[in-house]
Amino acid sequence: MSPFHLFLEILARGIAIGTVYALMGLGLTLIFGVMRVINFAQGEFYMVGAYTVFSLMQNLSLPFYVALPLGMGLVFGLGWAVEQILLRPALAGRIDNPMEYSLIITFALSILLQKLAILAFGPFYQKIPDLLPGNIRLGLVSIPGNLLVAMLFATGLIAVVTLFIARTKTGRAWRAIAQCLPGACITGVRIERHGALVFALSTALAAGAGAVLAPITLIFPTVGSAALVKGYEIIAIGGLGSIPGSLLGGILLGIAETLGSVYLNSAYKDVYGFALLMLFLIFRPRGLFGQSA
Amino acid sequence: MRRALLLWVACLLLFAPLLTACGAQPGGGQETGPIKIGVPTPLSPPADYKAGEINVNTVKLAIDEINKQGGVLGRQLEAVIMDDQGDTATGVNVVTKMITEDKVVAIVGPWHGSVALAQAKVAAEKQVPILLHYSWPDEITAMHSDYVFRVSPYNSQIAQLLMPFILQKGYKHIVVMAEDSSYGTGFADGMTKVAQAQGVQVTTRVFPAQSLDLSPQLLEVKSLTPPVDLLLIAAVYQPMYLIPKQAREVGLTCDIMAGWDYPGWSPEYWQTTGEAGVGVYYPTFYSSKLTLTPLGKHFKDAYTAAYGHEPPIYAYFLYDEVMMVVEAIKKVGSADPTKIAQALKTMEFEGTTGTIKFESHDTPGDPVWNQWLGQQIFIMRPTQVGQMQDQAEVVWP
Repeated sequence: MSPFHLFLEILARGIAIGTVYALMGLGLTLIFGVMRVINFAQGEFYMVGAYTVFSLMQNLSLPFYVALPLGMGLVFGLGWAVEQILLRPALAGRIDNPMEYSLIITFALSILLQKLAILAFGPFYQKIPDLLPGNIRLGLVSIPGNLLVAMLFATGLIAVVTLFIARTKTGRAWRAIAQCLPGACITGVRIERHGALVFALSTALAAGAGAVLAPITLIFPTVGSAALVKGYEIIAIGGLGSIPGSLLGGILLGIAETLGSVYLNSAYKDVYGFALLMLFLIFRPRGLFGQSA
Repeated sequence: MRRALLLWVACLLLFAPLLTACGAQPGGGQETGPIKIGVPTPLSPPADYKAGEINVNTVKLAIDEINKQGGVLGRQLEAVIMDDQGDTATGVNVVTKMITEDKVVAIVGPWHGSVALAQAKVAAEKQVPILLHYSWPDEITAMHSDYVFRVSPYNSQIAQLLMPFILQKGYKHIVVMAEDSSYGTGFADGMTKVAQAQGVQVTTRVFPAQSLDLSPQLLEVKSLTPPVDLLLIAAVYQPMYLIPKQAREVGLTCDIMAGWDYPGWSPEYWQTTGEAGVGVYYPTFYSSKLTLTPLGKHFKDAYTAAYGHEPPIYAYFLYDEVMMVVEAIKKVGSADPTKIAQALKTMEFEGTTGTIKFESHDTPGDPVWNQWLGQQIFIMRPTQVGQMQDQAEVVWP
């Protein structure tokens, strides 16, 4: 294989996996943008999504393309419940420091979800059957079928969410809340209801990411931690509260990781994301498209 | 204020001798009551609790046998079993507690490599013999302590044991995919040293232990020159299942070998690796060709009868260790840990798979120190999906 060919294949993989990371970033950026809340359990919703789809496929013999939306729907419900029970007090003004509170409570939730996963499924590695076995040839590069499906799914979902936020009334309400909370209140936007919706949607997005990457990465109770860290790297790179930022940030991260691990040193794969993050924090702290403080 | 301060100082001076007395007891040394043997091992997930359970079962079996025969020196044996959770800090605490509070005379059963290393250091410092039955990092014995004994194989030795097979197959360029733990990098280093001395080129690629996708690295491996003929996997987390599959996906057609025998008994292997798992070589210390001594046959039957499944190879090693400690106590006529350690050093014991005698090389840093070198190695290869260790083909010797 020629060096150029190798480079193209690595680049293609970096972009593909970056779009899936972007789903994580998108969820986090929505939660932060609309609710000003830090969700430390986002990685665990990724993990729960993977296990839910796995469980639906195994116990109810559903095909993946049915289990996926169903699983995302179930996690949407879970996210709604979590928001109502755990986060409502922070937003209803009964807590002094809503951001710190949300950090601590979602951190506790992440530990709880991990331990529950160990109890329910054991600490073992599970696998979802391949979505599209083998490699698919796209011009000069060939990319694993699973990765291609994941990329198409992630891109499609991001496009749908972006359109939703730009064109619908609910989307407009979210933008209003993110831009000016008192103003949104005055114009009659029901803040609490939208908060729950945003949170539930974000957890569903994370769940989708987890399920669609599961054939590649295997499913196990701590699979969410790496996803969480990448999600936060992406929102810092792309800019808090910016949707195109999450997509571009995700792709940049995917490319940095895969190129770095092949051309520099594969032992430091996780470092490249952090290095990119540091560069941004030094030279452009608000990220690619974030609002300046 | 000053009076209160004086009162405090007086109290401290009074109680200080008591405090130091509590902390500084040497291990063992009690003259009556049961003789205690410490068993620190992982007993809860996410650590390897299944192996931990087997470790505990083996020690209990051995101790019950001895106690039925009247114990040692007229005293019964007692196992002090504690969960080290596969975590270094917990492991160190557990071993410290066993030695200082429970006064164990010997320690057996440590499992996870990095945890065992830390535990060995504590035991060595507190002068209580510790025996490793299946912990592979070279460093454990390379520290040359007279209280650390290893019946288990170790990383560099396994590399050495693999060489005849590698030379027979004519591999010229080996790539070791190693996780960034002391097992992974230790194995890669050992392999590099041993193979290069025999003219085989070794390239190492290290990856973060919990990586989710190794295909970029594998693509790069595919593009190496001279072309790779053997891909060796040194990992204990999910990459050990992912690499065979992802290697085949990127189009790597060379032979693949697992660094240890997980394809032979791990229930998740076929589930996660699937078709790509067929034909993967793996070294193991157990096979249908393993020669057992009479003691070995006795242990195999006793364990299978008591627990309903055959013991894995490391259970044999652990059983040997408990019996060796008992022999040592009988030989020196005392349960003093230091005397036990001295007796173990020179002992020749008819174990379950052969005669165990510890060897020591004087070169500093050499892992052969109180190390047994008599393990039998086999190389296996599954020829069909779903074949476990007892059905796979024995390709070597």
